[in-house]
Amino acid sequence: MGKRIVTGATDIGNAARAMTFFSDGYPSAEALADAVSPRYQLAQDPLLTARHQWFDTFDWRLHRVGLSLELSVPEGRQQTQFLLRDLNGRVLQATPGGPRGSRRHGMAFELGELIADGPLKVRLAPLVEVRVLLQKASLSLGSRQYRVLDRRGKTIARLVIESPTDRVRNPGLPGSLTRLVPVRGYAGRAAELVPAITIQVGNAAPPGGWLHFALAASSLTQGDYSGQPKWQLTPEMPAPEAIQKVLSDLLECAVRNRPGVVADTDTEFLHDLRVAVRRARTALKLLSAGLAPDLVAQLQAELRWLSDQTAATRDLDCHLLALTPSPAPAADDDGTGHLRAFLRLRRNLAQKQLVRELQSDRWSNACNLWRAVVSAEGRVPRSGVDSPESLPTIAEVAPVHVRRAFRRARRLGRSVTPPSPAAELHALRRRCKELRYLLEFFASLAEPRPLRLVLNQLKALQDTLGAIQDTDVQIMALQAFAKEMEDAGGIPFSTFMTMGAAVTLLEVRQNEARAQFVGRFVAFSDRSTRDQMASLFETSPPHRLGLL
Amino acid sequence: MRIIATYNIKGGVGKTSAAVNLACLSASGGSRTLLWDLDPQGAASFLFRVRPKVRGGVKALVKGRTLAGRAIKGTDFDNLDLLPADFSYRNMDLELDSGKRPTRRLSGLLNPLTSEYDTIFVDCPPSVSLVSEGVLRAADTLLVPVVPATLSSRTLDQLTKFVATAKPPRPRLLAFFSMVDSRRRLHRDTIALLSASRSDIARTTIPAASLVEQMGPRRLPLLAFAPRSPAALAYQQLWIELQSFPSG
Repeated sequence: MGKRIVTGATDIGNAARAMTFFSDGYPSAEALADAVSPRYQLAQDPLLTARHQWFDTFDWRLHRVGLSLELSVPEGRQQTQFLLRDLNGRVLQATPGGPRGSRRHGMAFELGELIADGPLKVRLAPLVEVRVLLQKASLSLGSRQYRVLDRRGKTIARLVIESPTDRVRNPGLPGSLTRLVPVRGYAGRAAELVPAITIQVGNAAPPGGWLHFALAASSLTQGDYSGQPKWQLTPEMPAPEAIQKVLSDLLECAVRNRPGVVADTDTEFLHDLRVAVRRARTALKLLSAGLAPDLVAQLQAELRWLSDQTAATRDLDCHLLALTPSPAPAADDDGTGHLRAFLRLRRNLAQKQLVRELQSDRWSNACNLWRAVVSAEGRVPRSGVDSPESLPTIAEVAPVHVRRAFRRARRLGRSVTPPSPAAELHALRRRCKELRYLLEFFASLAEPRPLRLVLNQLKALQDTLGAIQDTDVQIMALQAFAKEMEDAGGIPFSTFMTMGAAVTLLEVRQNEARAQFVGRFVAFSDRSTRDQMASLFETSPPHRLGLL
Repeated sequence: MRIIATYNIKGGVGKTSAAVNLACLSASGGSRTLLWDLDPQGAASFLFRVRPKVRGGVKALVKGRTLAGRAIKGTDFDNLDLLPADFSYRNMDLELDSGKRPTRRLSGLLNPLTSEYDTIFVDCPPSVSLVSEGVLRAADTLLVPVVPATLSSRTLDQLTKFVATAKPPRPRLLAFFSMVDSRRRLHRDTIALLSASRSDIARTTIPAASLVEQMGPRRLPLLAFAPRSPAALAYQQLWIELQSFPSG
């Protein structure tokens, strides 16, 4: 028996849990038989070798609810199957089948492309929503199952021993992983075996089993995803330094999402990249005092360019996501097939152009410029008499900017009425976004309760403004698409009917949102919210204000 | 979630064989499947090597002192669990009758399990009773094995009437010929006659086969030891037909 590597907790009290042990070595059949005797016998199944692939969304939606989706592709004639497990390795659902053709860009699949209609798809659909499933890890494993039989010959548990087929290439993986899987209704009896098996086999493995080890071998962790940074600024930080920290995290976020955008695995990578750029533009616009103006101006120009380059693909993504999913353009049952095909064609062209830009020297130069702004070079050169203590702290600067942004939004909002042109509402939406970003940058400096209350009102207003503008954009886009499709010819009348119906529906939604606007704005700008805003930074103790 | 009950007034017509093999097929197709062995003889429990015992017996189950979910045992097959028989099920009528709304009680017992399973099979005892009425109320599909014989038509008529007179919601009835010996003229004629006169008979017939009888001594579903046999293939065909059959 090999050296045991890591220890972990083994919960043998939970009736539903599988128990997983791992070891550097490989347990022998005799050792296992000893562990279960004399009450039980082992029946050995044939050795199987299979390629295991684990899928989840880019933001680990399955992992977040304690699930893992595994595709097992055995060698030989055994059937490929999907295994939905809990994080303790218990199979919750096993469904035969495999991907029905891979997407053009690597191991990323829409749910319908990966899993056929049936109970598993029904179970996963509300979790996955519009996201694609990405292959998170892959391993080839040899697997042998022993059934633990009672004296009636009934299986009360299974001992499944898996080991990597090519450990030379995967030296970071354990030699074997042994899973004791109690059959439902026999967990108590299976738990009695744990001490003896622990002696023979090894120690408890971390949740996730092989997925955990496979990711760890690539320096990755399950569930390791955050759409946007969460800033922890300290009150006494000099303001320029704090803003550089914000910009630095946004640069890291943009760079982190770029490969996903280029690989085109999930539309959310582009969304996150765009949000990072938008936040950086807000930070540069409102908070650049103390940063080198020439560098800031150059970076602002480059970020504007980047926003422009990413806009077309993102707009088309939004149009496609707004359409109900359909397996193929040919399935034109709901009249959207031709529209979807039209949008996909345009989207593919826009994406190609976007990839070209993201692989260009200009992207690299923009990133270098961004790095320069967040480095020492990016600070305004100051005379020798200036010390860090003489610079304004972020605790002093943040309230000024947040309150100013709030006043601006309120002032602009007062001049807007439900029938106002979309452009005016859009301008208010932009002011609200700026306020939202500032609140997020400075969240660690604010009092949690007022911050939560202000954010609630702000989010509600943003939702309404978003609904008004999004429906407006969608209506205009559908009208423009209809014109283009008509000019191109060959589009059935039913498609135009469907698009017309969609425009009507969007107009109804927009009117609903417009009717909602006044109430939302009043709630956002009333005395209660103003009081919360006033107390946002007010009660900060002196040390948090950087005054001591 | 769909509940399929295998039922016939007569015994020995292939109810348990059908329930066990169809449940296996359902599970192997990826559906989370439960088989409730409602017959106190416990044949299905025997085939899956599960002790026919429910803690507290039928009384505790019906009164809710033992939750059905706690009594469930996993079988040796992925996705397939069993709610075992208990000899006290022979008194289920009495226990149901002693409570309020007796015909709704079985659905009530299954309700908490509906989120856990995609398909539930109920292997019923051969009788016309309060239990049967409860099953009719709980099931979406009543799957009736019929041995092609002179009295088959009469039995089916009785059953149809029984279902029609039950309180709604009522299941859709689907009969199929079981233990068919195609060498026997009586079987061929009966199948032809009944299939022509009724719309609720499956196209698939299950042949009489010694392999089906082998399920007992082997204590395994047919699909586990003879998946390519004609009878196993017939069950597969019946499962396909059943999946497209509308629920009640």
